[in-house]
Amino acid sequence: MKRVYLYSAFERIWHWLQALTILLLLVTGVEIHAPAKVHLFGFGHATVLHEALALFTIANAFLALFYHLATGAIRQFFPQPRDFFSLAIAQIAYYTKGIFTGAPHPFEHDPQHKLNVLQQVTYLGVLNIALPLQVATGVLMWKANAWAGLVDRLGGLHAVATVHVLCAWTFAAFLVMHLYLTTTGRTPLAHIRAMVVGWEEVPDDESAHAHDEASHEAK
Amino acid sequence: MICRYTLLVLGVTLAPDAAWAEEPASELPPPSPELVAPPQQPSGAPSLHPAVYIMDAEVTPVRDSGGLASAERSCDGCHDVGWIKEHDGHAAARMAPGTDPARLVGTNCFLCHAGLADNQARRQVIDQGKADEADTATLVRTELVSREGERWVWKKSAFKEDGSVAPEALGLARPTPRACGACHAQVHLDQSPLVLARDPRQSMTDLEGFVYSGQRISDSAVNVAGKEQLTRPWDVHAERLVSCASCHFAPNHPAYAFSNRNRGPEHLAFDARRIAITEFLWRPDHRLANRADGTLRRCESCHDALKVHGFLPRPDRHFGALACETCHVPMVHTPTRQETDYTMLTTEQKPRVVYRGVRDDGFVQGFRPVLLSRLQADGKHRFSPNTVATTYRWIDRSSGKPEPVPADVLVRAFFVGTSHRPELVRALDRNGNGALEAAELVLDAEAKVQVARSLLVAAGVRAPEMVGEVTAYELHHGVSPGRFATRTCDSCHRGKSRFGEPFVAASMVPFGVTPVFTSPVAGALVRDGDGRLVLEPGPGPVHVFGHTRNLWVDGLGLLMVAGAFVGAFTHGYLRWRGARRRRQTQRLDSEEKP
Repeated sequence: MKRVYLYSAFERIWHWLQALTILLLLVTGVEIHAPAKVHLFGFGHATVLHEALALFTIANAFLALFYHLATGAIRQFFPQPRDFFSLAIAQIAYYTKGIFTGAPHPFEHDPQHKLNVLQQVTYLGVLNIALPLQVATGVLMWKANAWAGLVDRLGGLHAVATVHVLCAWTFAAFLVMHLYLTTTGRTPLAHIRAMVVGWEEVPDDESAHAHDEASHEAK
Repeated sequence: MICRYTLLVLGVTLAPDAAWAEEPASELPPPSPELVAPPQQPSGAPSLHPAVYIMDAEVTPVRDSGGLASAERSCDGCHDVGWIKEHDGHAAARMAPGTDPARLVGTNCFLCHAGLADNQARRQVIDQGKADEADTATLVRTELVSREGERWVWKKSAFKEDGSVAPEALGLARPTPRACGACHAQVHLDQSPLVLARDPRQSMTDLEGFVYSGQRISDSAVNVAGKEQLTRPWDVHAERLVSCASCHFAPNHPAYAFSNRNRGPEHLAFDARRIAITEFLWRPDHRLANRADGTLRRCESCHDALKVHGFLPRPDRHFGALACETCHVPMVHTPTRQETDYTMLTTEQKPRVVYRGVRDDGFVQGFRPVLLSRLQADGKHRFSPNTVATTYRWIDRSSGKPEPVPADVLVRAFFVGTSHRPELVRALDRNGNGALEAAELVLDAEAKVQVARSLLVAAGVRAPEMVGEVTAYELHHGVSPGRFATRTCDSCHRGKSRFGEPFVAASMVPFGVTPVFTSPVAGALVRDGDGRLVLEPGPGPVHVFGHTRNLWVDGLGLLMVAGAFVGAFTHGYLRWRGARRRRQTQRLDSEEKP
């Protein structure tokens, strides 16, 4: 086993802030959507908190975009055309069969390759479709009165709110799957621990391309 | 913006109850001004109006001729009465098709401009068919004229030597709320506890529950349930001495002309051009400011709501979707007419009338108006408070167009002398006591309708048919002060909220009648389990967070999340079982090895 430094401090802080705000956005969103069923902050407070968290999330998302562009880490999110299908099939085969029989993970983690091909496809969808749609519809609802003409052209506030709610449900479902998949590491808490401390233990053969602890400390 | 929201988040976190807290109940509002200010005097107040000559139809002073007064002839000369009549909204309303003929005679200058005008006396002579005496009767409360037998006698000593009358003797002035109230609504301006007059001809009180009075409801003599808590005035504008004419003014009044921002060139915040006061007095436009042409003063004409609604999240959104009255007329605390049923007359030979907002023990409990999406004066749809009144009547279609069956025909058809006809009693008398009680006077079964119809046919109605009409009345009066306005978010932002709340339009529906709206209303009329007619408001064009739902989106979303959970648990279970098998296999392998 070797310890590999997978997540930088910025990435970890960003991730947990984003996790907290998305969780709170979902909770306050549910309270706004069904105030009779969920009563934590009160409708008025939940609305203000939801709007404030949304602004924070947008700002945090732009910071992350800048970071990933500046460091080139954004490349990790793009699946490579070469071997795409064979890698995807291997990953699907692992999740549907190999994981139950203790087969080795087909994907090797290292600081330059943190996402397997299925994760890349999922994040591309979430970050390029669901998140922009969620933000755009949220902003439109926020400014519905000032931009009434635009909202009407898009089908009215009801249509915009429907898309927003549908995206929110998608995020909730994504969150459930995301949380579950964090338990598919070497141990159930290995991935979560890595996102807390930055280091993850991987088998020697899986860290062939990785920076080992010594090289990181030397840096 | 981010700073603002950071502060808001901190505020939310640190002071969760501060922003939307209600005022403490122990903190009583200041006393009503009516208790400290002198009440308005109908007469005796000094007037700048010159002395007037009360003329008869021949333009001879009545003091000399002893004839009947003519308000038109009295005022003409100083005021262009001909022009005023052509520019009179009341006259136009009186001449509208379908108007009660009794209203065609009528309003006169004295009625609105003389503080001592007596509308009761005027109505009395009109009801007696002596419309030509209406103007004279209007002055009966002054000392100028009195009724002696069948004659009107002018008291010459009350006139000046030259035959004129001092304006104070008539109380000549700009129309007061009392003048408007004579026909439109109950007005109560003195300090005595208010008692509801229940005059059905004061339609705004009868249909909309509006009482123009600054008196607190708790100080009134009306038996309102829980009124000790109702320290709000009947109408906040009456309390603040805003009169009817403050909003319903003459459009060419120099002080008000073009004061409404919707009039005049768009870029002019204030138009300094005015007609002279003399021109106005010569030809005052009596087509009083109204909603139709945008001249009516609206809430925002006087109030800058944004300055006092800081507690409200997204005030622009709220103001864009809701009329001010939606929150500021949260309850109506007077009984209002719910239904008028002319299909079967009571033993007093009157239509059966049901009022809403009254408990079985006689206490007034009031009611919460129904919120309907309606076109507002600025051309936008907003939710506003409404009440509805249902009318059931017999019509005769034999002439091709529906004609209401007159009241005297109904009496002739249904009564013998002062009693209901025996065949009617046999059909309607449920308890078999030989008399028709209020609850029995409903044509809710085919057999009852057939009996009534046959009686009408016998009375000469060739094609009798019952119809039901529902009219919605938007509530703009009876406004409560801010401290009594709706302030809690969950009044609207919850599944079962004021939006879509059903509203009883009538306690019953006659057999075979399908009631319709008299004007388009965003809602549907349905019958509930008790046989009542209920108005179910439509959603309108507004999306109300916490209330408006898209069921298929929520269903799909729940399915996605539930699917994710089921998938995760199933997958996790299979992983756990696989791991356990592998451990067992490893243990067995290790046990088999020596």
